Amino acid sequence: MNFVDYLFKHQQDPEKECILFRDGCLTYRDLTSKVDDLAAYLTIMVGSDKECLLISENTPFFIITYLAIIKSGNIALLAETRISDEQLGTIIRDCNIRTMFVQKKFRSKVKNNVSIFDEDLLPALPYIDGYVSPPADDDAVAVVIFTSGSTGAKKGVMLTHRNLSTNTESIVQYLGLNSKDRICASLPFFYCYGASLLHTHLRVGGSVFLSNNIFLGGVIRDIDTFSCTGFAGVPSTYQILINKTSFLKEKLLPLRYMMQAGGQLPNKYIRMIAEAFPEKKFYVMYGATEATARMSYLPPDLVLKKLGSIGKGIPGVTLEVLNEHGNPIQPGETGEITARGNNIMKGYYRDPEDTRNVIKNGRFYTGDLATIDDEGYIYIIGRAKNIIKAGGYRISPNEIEEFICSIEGVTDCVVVGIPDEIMGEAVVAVVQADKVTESIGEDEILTRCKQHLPSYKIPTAIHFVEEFPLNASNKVDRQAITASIITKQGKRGIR
Amino acid sequence: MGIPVDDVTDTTAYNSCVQWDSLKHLQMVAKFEETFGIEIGMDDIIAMENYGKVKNILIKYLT
Repeated sequence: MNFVDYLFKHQQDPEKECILFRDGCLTYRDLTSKVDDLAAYLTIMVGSDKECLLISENTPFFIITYLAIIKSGNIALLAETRISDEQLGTIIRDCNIRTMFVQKKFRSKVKNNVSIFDEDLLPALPYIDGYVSPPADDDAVAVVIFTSGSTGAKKGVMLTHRNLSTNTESIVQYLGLNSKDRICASLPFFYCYGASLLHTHLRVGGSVFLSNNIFLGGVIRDIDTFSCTGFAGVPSTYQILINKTSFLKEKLLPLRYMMQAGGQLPNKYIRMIAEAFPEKKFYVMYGATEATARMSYLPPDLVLKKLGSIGKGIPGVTLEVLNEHGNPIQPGETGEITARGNNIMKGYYRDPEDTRNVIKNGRFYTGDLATIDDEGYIYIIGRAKNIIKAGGYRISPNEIEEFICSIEGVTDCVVVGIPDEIMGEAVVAVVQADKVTESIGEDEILTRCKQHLPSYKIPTAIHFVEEFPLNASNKVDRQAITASIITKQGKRGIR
Repeated sequence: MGIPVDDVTDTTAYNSCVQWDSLKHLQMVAKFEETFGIEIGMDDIIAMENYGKVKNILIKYLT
């Protein structure tokens, strides 16, 4: 079944508010009607099974266009709005893009000789009554999402109608979503986590508030004003809210649950949130674009008991941590997280070799290293690519980061490996200090590390930053941090 | 933000300026707070949606 038909299959009340934004709202009737109009136009103008690029922030334009591309049997290629001109040019060329939908604000990014449509197209479309999507092969590609490239070049992840429907169904199930739920969406829809918010709430007949704020702190007001029952964030979302706003002191009365994915939130922040909002459900989750979005979740009642765990596989996903021989690990051992299920991508766009590297016998190898406890709950140790190799040791940054973050006066910490002539790589910690106290210094952090960490894990240097560089999905950009330290050291000679 | 000074006017706004995104906004506010030794309230951070308003809000904190 076409994924868009799946999303609206159970829709019962066409007059219900569906997409809300500051200046108005779209009902389900408004949305499906506009999607049908555009899908019909695309069928005539473009045909089917063609790649259509979409560049937009979270707006009604994004949602209508995204759904219409999929419904017309075409393929929605989602590009981040901060994409560089060079990367955009590469995508347009390599993906043979002939049709683009670009929010007016970003029109200056596109100079190519292709058909470009913006918001002005939508009101001009002829009304179509009862558009029927062409028969869909469940395994046909519906969406290509370009991964944020935190560990390398951008890759297009091909997701099929089946991938999208399966993962949506699983997420709806474990979050217990229903038609009364309204998500406060501040995460971009051009990434899988944000897109999953849209998918799940449309599927249950719920609603989505587009919380486009100049400052993230605005979500606190939005949750109350627009009666949002759910909120989703990546680690930086919660770290910004906790450190820069009154978030933990707020009541957030309409909110039923909060969720966090997109990287590891330091345990001290998980504890702060769970303790500040004991009556709300706080879901810690784990996912990847290659798995459509979600692979695991930790039930909210275990958040403090299993602090730091990503939980277990979601319904329909077999999540296993395997050792180097391909066997499930025992508690205390370390292995790689792997996943099987109908949510695993079809492959990387026009890259069969990289696809074969990560999908073997239908199993997706995440590249994340983890251990399990006696009850099978999974704890991520680090990303295989981030492992620091220093003096013959293989060091995961996570344990060091978690420890330094726990020191009073430290807001956040990232540990990276810097090329070192003697050690191979040197462990370097980059610390964001608490602006209020600002009393923490290099000596104190190093003293505490020496008291609590084995010698090979003690950083050889501590750098302080005001803000960490983030990539477009708001994850800390480790490559940029590493490059910046190498540049600094190069200027004064590597120690 | 990499915007040439001559291109900045009071109407240069977050909504229409590609370079001015939420992360840059946060960094800009942090820089103001550090440079001027002030702490800008959340409502004002949200209200700084164009250059003219940024100036007026800063003047409020500095007078």
